[in-house]
Amino acid sequence: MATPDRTPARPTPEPRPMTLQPASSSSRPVSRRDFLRRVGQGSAAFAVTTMVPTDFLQMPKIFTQEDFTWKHFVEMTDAEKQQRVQELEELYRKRFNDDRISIATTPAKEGVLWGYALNIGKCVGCRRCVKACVGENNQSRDPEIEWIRVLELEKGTMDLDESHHYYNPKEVPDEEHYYMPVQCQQCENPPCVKVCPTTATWQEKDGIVVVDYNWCIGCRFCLAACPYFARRFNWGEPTWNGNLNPHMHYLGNRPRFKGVMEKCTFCIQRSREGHYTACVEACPVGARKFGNLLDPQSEIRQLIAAKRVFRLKEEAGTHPKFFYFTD
Amino acid sequence: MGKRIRSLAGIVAAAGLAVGIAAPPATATVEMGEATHQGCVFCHPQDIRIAGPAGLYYKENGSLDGYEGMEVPAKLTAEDCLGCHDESWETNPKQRKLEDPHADKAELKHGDGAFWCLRCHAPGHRNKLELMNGEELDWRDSPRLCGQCHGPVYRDWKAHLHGRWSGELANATPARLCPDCHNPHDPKFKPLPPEPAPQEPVAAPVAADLTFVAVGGAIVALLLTAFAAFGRRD
Repeated sequence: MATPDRTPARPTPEPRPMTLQPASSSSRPVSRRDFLRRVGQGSAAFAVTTMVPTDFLQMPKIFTQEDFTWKHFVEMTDAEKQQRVQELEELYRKRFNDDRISIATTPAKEGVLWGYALNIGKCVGCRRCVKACVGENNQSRDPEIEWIRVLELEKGTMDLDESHHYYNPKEVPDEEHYYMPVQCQQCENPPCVKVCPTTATWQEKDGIVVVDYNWCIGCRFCLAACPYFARRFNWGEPTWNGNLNPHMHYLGNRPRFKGVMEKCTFCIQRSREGHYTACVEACPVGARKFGNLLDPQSEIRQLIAAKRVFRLKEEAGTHPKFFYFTD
Repeated sequence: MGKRIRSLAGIVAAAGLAVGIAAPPATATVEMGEATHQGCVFCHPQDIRIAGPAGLYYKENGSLDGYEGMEVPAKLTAEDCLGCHDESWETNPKQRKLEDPHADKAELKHGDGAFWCLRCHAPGHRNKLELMNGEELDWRDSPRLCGQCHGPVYRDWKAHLHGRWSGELANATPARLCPDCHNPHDPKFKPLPPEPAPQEPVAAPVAADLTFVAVGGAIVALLLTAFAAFGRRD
């Protein structure tokens, strides 16, 4: 289709030399392209001269240059995983001065789909689970990151908008409140995975939604997509006060760095070795239950069969594998 | 045969001072779920301290008030109620106000007054518990005793749905038995102090916002000027 050319007739410009060299001829005025090219070169030079010495040479390194060239965890072969883990172990042992540090890449077992249940009738809101989780999973102490958030609700309502999580009475449980801890619900239909532009987060075969911290670009789409406020972002450089759990998993509790997302992994480093999660072990009232949803004899299956069970924000269609129940 | 405690008072007190520092304090009902092995100590924290393998029986404040005239057994430990309640003592099943050293259990807050000590403790063997059918139980089998009345809870506990279970999923072990969390003489859970609340997010200072606006505005203005100066030449 011919569209009328409404621009006034201009003299045809001289053909430019097809070269990448900047037009240095003084006879021609500086073109927009040349200007932008110079600006680009100048900024690159500026970035190199200022950022390299501060960010890459002087700061304590937690990720290496290889971090930018390694494959996505899912695409790695076993040998590559092995090599990658060895490199990381050396790096972490040096940095954290702890020879016990080991990083597992234990895969999901066949016939296992993890499920979790929490008895809101028993929970007393003591936050023992929160602190156990922080210790087990190496969350940053300052800035503070906690994967579990215990909501305090007034008796008589289930409106989460009315809940508080900064409650701090001398003793719990408070007579007028009940408590509902919320953490990653390990959805079967996880919105956080759908929105990730780099596939840095995905669902494993045993149902755990994990993050490859080296592939996360920190866009925080997943944080916005999660209806459960279950994801946490490292806004600052994390610190651990020397309390680092040396038993790590590549997709779980290995140290994160500034600018990446993290979340509950059902203690992937424990559950894949057949152990209860840290929050289950820590709960003083035994309100937390964990097990294999595909095993009819497991406690989680018996619990779903025997108790009054519900899921949080069921209407969102996320199909959580995290159940709340009462006796 | 034992000796009179009065004659041993000095030795016992000295030994208590000597080993008392090293001895682990009786951690009983301070926080639910934090109790150690269930023995007499669990219910008798005020009365007993374990001190050394041979055992030592004295009050929390180190005095021997109330124990005058008692036979001191050769080997009395916190798990050995028979040290005092042996065959020589006549069993008194009558409900009454308890004297020292059991004064802390003067009021039994379990069963609304329907129970007395010997409903659970075996009258014939005080180191054991006793079911309603007369079968004597070890301390470690206490869930069976509790399950006589608390049937649904016992059923849930056996299916790992009640209480704390620990270790490997495939071979879970009870982290706690009934009396470790529910003091049988006062079963109601006591409130406990919560762990610290999460930090509330702090709003950035206004100065930071202003700086952002000023610097950002300057950059935008600079770019606009540059484009105006160079952009329309061709």
